[in-house]
Amino acid sequence: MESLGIMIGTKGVIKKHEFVRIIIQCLYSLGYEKSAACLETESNISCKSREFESLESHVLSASWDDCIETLNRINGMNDETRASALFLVLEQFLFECLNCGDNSLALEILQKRIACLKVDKEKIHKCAFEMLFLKQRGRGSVDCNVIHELRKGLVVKLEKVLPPPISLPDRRLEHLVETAVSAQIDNCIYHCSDMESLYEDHHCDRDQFPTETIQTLTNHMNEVWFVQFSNYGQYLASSSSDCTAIIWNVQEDNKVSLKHILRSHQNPVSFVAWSPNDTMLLTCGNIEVLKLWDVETGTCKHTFGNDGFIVNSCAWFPDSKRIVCGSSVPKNGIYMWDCDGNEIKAWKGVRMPKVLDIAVTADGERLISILSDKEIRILNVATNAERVISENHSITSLSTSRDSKFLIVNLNSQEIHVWDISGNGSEPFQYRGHKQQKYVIRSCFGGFNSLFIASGSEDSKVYIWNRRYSSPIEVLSGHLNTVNCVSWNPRKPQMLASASDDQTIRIWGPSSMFH
Amino acid sequence: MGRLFVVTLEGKIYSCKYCGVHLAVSDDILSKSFHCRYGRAYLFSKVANVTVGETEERMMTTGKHIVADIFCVQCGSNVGWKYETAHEKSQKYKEGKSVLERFKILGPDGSNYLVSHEAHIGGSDADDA
Repeated sequence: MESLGIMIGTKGVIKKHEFVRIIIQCLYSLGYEKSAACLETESNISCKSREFESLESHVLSASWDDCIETLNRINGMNDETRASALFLVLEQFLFECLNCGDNSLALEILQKRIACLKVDKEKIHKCAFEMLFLKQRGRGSVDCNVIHELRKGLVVKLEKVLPPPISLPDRRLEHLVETAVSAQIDNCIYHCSDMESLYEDHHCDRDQFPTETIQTLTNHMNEVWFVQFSNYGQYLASSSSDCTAIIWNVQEDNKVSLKHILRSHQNPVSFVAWSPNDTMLLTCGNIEVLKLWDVETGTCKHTFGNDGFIVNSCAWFPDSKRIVCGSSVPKNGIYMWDCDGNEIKAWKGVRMPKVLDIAVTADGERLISILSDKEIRILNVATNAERVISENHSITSLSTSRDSKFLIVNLNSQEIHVWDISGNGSEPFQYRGHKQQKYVIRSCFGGFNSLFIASGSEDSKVYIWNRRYSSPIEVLSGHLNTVNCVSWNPRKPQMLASASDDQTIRIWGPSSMFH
Repeated sequence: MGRLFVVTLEGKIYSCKYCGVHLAVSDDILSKSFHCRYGRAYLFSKVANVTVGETEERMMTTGKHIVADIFCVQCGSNVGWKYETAHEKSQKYKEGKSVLERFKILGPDGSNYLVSHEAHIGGSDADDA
């Protein structure tokens, strides 16, 4: 055996004989048996420990008492593990006794040796039950080949139960490499592409990250309050206090061009929502009705509500057929409609507070609403179960992640909170750095794998965070006034759009995208 | 929702005299014995729909304090001030609380407030006996 004390590597944390042993294990698991055996000989290090080898030979030759004695003699095993291993061995022993017809010995094993093991009672009962079952089948009912396979199976089970250094955890080298790669990815602040090769440490450069204005859209006549890319990234929608909404094309070469100006609203439009199939767009304002538009033709297909019913936010269900909207007038509540204006369901009544914002998770399972400015109500649509999260400060906007797992809210106290929708966590992830005191500022998830958050701000800048850190990683300057809303392109994670009181929309991209 | 974010309050509401935005409720009044240049002022434990200006050190009738003026979020009217830090121990209770000037706000019954004849010139603050 190689001298156990030799270390390799520059940090003095790798023991040479352990390293070689896991390489041998890796070669075996990759199917290179000859190389593995050759390495064992050359290094004089055996993949299987001596104790394990003797265990293995005892099991295969059915020398059960020797097997048990070996197990009892091994050091470095806690009682629980030892009991589990003994149970496995005795179970097989019992089975083989029954198969030989030696019922009295079988019974003795069960009563005197298995029953007193410190293992789960369930397992012992199951064992007893199977014994009865087998007794009925009689002697010799299972042939030698099967017995041999069972013994080999027992060896594999023991290998999993026994601790190192007796037995190695499965695929140890692969696991260590994966851990290192994951750590590199976790530390990658501007992460924008997958790890390509093991040959180089993973690191995404800042020049791949959106930091420059690549286009400015000036078609709106007044403050732009909302902007959002379509679900498949081929369009952009914006809405403004000039009472219009605009649909833009996002071309293959990343240029954005005007498609339709949607004119019909009498008041500022503060919110738009794309249907999940991107064929329709909903628009509404905070003192306005809800309108449904056809994206291709730019015509208004339906107007919901009337003077008495004011819709200030809306959302689609995944089937692109049902929409839900909320009213900021107390008692008006939340309504679910189909695209023709037929009411499907309503949550309303005297006790219904005003609904400040509403969203439906992309999987259609949950309806989330902001009630009375500090409450987030998450309703499971199918089961009607509700979860309420109370914030300490007023919530100005709500958005959800594409994987339906998280929601993001902007608070009046200049904080952004991200909550796990399905978990029961009592603490949100918190992000700070932007400015927000007076206006409704919106934020969103986005970027590669939705690893980032972007938000508008009252200081004319766009703020971007990596979700792992609560301070911004990028602050984008360019707008001349408050940035109200931002949106990441879901298909082009390096493209970001921002809407500002300076009446423009800016498209941001990496410095390499300049044209 | 909508551009300007304005919270609506419930209860007996004090609102901005010029634009009607809700500022505070009477349940949150801590003291009615404060004074400002234009007459009386009330100390509230919390106020809504205000923006906070720059903090500065000011000498008040009860001593030096670090305060910031507060403004109505909708019309920008200077409706009072907020205590950030008090130098003297006896005044520490004011920290984090806000004062709304009675002259700048409408009471719960919509009542206006006339400038008091005993308006203090140059000094503003309170004492709380």
